[in-house]
Amino acid sequence: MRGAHRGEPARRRPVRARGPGLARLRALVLALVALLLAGASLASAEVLQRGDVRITLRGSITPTKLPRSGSAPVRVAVGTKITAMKQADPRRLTRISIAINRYGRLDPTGLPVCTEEDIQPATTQKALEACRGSLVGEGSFAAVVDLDRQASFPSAGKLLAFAGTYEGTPAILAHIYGTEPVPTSLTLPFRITRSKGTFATVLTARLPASEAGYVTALSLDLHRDFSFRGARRSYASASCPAPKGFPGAVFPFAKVSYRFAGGRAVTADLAGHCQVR
Amino acid sequence: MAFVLCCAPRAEAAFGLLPGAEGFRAQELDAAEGEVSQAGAHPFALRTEVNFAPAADGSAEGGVRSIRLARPVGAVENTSVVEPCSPKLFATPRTSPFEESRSGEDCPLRSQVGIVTLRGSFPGGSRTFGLFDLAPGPGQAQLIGANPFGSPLTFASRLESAAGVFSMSLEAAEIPRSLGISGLTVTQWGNPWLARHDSQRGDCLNEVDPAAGHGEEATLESETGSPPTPYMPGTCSTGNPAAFPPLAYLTLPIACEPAVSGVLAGAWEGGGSSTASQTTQVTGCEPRFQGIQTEVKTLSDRAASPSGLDLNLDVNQTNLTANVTPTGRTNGVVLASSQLRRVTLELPEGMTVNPSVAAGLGACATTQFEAEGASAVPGVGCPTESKIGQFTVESPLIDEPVTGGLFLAAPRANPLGSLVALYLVGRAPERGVLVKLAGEVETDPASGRVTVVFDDLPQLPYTHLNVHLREGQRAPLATPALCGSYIPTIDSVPWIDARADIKSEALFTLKAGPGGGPCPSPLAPFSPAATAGSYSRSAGAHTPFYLKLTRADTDQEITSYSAELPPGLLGKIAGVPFCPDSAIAAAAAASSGFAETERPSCPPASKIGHTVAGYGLGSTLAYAPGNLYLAGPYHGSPLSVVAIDSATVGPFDLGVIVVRSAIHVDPTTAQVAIDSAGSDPIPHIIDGIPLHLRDIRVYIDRPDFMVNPTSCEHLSVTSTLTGSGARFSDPSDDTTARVSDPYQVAFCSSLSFAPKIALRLKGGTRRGRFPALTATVTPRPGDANIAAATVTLPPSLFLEQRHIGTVCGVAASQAGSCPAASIYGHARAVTPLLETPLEGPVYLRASANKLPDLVAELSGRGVRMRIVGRIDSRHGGLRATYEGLPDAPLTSFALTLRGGGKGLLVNSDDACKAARATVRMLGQNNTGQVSRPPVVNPACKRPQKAKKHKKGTHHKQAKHGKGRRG
Repeated sequence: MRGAHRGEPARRRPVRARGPGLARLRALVLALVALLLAGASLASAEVLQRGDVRITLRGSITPTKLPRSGSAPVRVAVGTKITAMKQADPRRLTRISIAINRYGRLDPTGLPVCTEEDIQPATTQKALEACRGSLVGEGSFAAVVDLDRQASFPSAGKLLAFAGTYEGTPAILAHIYGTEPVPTSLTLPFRITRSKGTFATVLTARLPASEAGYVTALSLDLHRDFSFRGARRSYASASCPAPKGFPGAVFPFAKVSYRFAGGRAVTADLAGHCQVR
Repeated sequence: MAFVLCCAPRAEAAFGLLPGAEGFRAQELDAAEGEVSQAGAHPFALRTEVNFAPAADGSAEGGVRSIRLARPVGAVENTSVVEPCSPKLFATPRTSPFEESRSGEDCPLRSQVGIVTLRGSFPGGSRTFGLFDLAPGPGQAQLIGANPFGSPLTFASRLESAAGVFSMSLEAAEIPRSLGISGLTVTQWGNPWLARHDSQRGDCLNEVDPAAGHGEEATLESETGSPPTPYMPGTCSTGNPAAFPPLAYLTLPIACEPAVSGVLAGAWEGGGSSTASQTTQVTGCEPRFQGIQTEVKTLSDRAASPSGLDLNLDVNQTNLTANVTPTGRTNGVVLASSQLRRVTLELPEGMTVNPSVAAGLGACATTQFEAEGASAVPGVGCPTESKIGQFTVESPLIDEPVTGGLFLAAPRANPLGSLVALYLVGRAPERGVLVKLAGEVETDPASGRVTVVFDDLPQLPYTHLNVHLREGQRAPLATPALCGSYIPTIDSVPWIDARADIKSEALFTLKAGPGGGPCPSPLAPFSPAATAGSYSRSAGAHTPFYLKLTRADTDQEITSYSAELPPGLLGKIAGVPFCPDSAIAAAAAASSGFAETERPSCPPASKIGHTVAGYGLGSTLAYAPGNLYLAGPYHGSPLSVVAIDSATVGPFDLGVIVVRSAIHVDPTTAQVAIDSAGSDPIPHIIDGIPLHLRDIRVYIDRPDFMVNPTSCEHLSVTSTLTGSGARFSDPSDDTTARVSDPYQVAFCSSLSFAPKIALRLKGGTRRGRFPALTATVTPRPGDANIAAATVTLPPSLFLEQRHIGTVCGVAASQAGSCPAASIYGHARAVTPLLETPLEGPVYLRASANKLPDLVAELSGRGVRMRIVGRIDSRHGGLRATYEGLPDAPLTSFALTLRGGGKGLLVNSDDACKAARATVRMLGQNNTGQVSRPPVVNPACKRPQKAKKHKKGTHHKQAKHGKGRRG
């Protein structure tokens, strides 16, 4: 375990301090979470087809009962599935961007920083051993392995999300490990950036330009409660953006943008609702 | 006649013939004393006059010791028309009622063939005596003689042959000097029993004045008038012509060629000799034949079988003697029939020379043929082993037939210069008759059709001639492949006129198949048999290997063959140089198989075995030897074998047969195959002799060359043979037959199996580095070969999927043209079978599995091997599985995967942590081994200590049952 806690010295390695960017991010995510946490269950699904690509997008925040002000710990789940309508014309995803409403926030303060070289390549077990303190979620992935002159075949594996940095910017490192047909691992760094407007937190991952395969499904379930300097903290938190006098709200939860090889881009929106507790 | 032409008179001796016609003259005369020149005519008389230079006493100077009278070629003196005088009567002095005879004989009237007039020193200077047919002595064809003054003067008749011509001669040897002769006139009567000779016959001969004979001449029966005048015998008649027909004793040659007569005389004193000759021209050669019958028959009525042959020529020789009417008058128009000068026998299509004839056959050299004499002398003449038949001639001139043998002349080295030639040697030893002939056998280069030519047949009249080619398994001929009727043709050319040839046909029918079975079908079956095996059955042993392919007579001819050796049966070509292409070309161009046997074209170091090819029909084949050499690339294959066979069977030397066959080595199994598509066709016919190849035996017996498999599986040697179909020259109707012979070695369990394997990483040891990996397998000599191997790397090594870029296609892989980008490593195999290692790239190749296969493409000395590994995982470890590995001995095998930017492996952990691979190997003998070798990286500063494992798990041997590939 090489990660360092954010905000205090790690037990085994120095803490890498979060800069001003993290503060801004925190504000954005708080706004998002406030918006999202409007009810006991906030879940949504979108299916859209653009040309020969069908995209299924699901997302949820739990719980849905959230404070109107301040924030509460939440579990954020986002999943997407990409289906090529023509087998012979699969679409190779090159970039995915998940923009989250400004009432929600992701705050790694107090968590050790995990880096790609800590976990890549590694088995799930080894990755967990290396960055257990940075673990902020888990999920799964599915891909099609498409090697030169080989018949394509599906592959799937477990995904671990670690809070960390990638090339100097905050990131969620999605560590993927599969054993079929042979053991291999891949780390997708989701860079976390801030933006103005409704969707203030943007997670962007560029998929490797390998011709050896393409992602067909990805799910990410972010949730981490932890203590930092004697206080309970949560990696993901949110508030319900219901106007005063309203018991809840329906709001744009997330916008997911996909870019495929060849330049095609597809954007899908997820709506959510919350109740003020 | 040879002596007439070759010997000059000796000038120094006083002994000698008088010059010109005074010294020697021979005349065929008619009844009116006119000379006769008509071919085949029967003269009234033949008068031969010889005179020598006289001495003072009236005898010949030097004394006449011998006289040899040579008759023209083709002239006939046939004593069979009279009755011989017994020796007793020939020695009994004559008592004549008409005069005091000086003749020492008292021979009967019917034995007299003429008169002889002697001139010399005796009282009166000239006296005439009767000339009688006598019983010939040993070595004499005929014998005639007189007994003047009680001193026998006999002329032995000889039939002489030289250079294909036949002639007769009369020789008087040891003439009593007491006779004191200076000359003589021999008058032989054309028809001795004619009444016209009554006045000079027996007691009626006036020895002093023969023209004034004693007694009465017979009165012949009138041929006209009525009533007819009856026959009235004379004083010295031979009898009523109706009962004792006066047959012709003399006949002129029947060829219109110069007729040369001659005399050779020897002296008592000084050993001198004198010779003279005269030439006349035979005329009147109008074409004529008289009753010739020919017959040809095979001695087998079975198709596709060995067969002898009988050639019979029957000539009606009535006109040779019957020139007298029943009433005893000569008929001048009766001419002897012409003898045959040349007989050409053309056998039907499909009837060929049987190569089996050569089995154990010898040949008769020209010198041996020339040494043949009238008497058979052991060790002289044509050897018995060269005899292929018999020869019989029956002639009216002698009582017993002339019999002898038919011999194979030394191929090419015979007077005809032909590949197949025959010598006919017949003799009647008691009569001193020798007949020698050379016959030529022509064979069509394309079809093998046989034509037999006997030229310069004797002008000696014969009534029956039989040429018998022996029957049996070693018969000289092969019958056509199908039943049916066949028509040989005979072209007979007479001596009298070459333009007057007569063509006749014979007929023979084949009614059954070989061995008396059913007739072969038009499209012959093709069911060859194959036998193969190693001399030693021990697994992994060095042992000679043999392959035998046979077919039945009824099967189609073999035009090509291929053979697939069982997997694991391999040859050690290390240290065996290729026979150079130039040497192979020289062998193919060579004309002498014997020379090839004596001085092989290919170097001995290239020899890997020998061959024996059996040719012929029936149960006896003629076998020809050959050698088998290793040769270089041929028809796209890196290796080849070349069989250089000396086509020498018996005395025949048909040159050299070179059949070069490409060797295909299966790149994945190392199975060796002789590829018929890349092989020379097997010749079917050489110099017009169909080979009828029935038996092919290949012995690969170079010491320590062939090595047995180490697998005791049931295997087979599979041969594919091509049959010629209905027509040999047409490949479109060829058929193929695939025959397998089981092959299995034994004692596999006695082989150990304990190969060692080492795994070594090179490069960065940290997580995410891409190390190179080298796996080295080192089998122990004498162990079973590796059949399968599975190497499971420790889970700390991942496949770097992102580095899998270019993958070679299957087609490109098979063509050996994988792109460089698909290469991810290198492999090297050392085998005792090759002096150079096999090495080459390791690349990824498309496969039906999820991941591409990891292929090691090895090559060396033209041999290509492809080791294919399937990539997957087991228990989180990267696994490479190699199955169906070639059953070939290895000294070592090393496979290296590159590291770095194109490395397929990536550390998922600290490579210096102890890690072991799991290696499972299966021997070809079904013995398994499991080992857990450490994966070491020399870059690690501290020695890597592997975790202890339970005893027996590092190296574990296990006997596997079925499913050894599992």
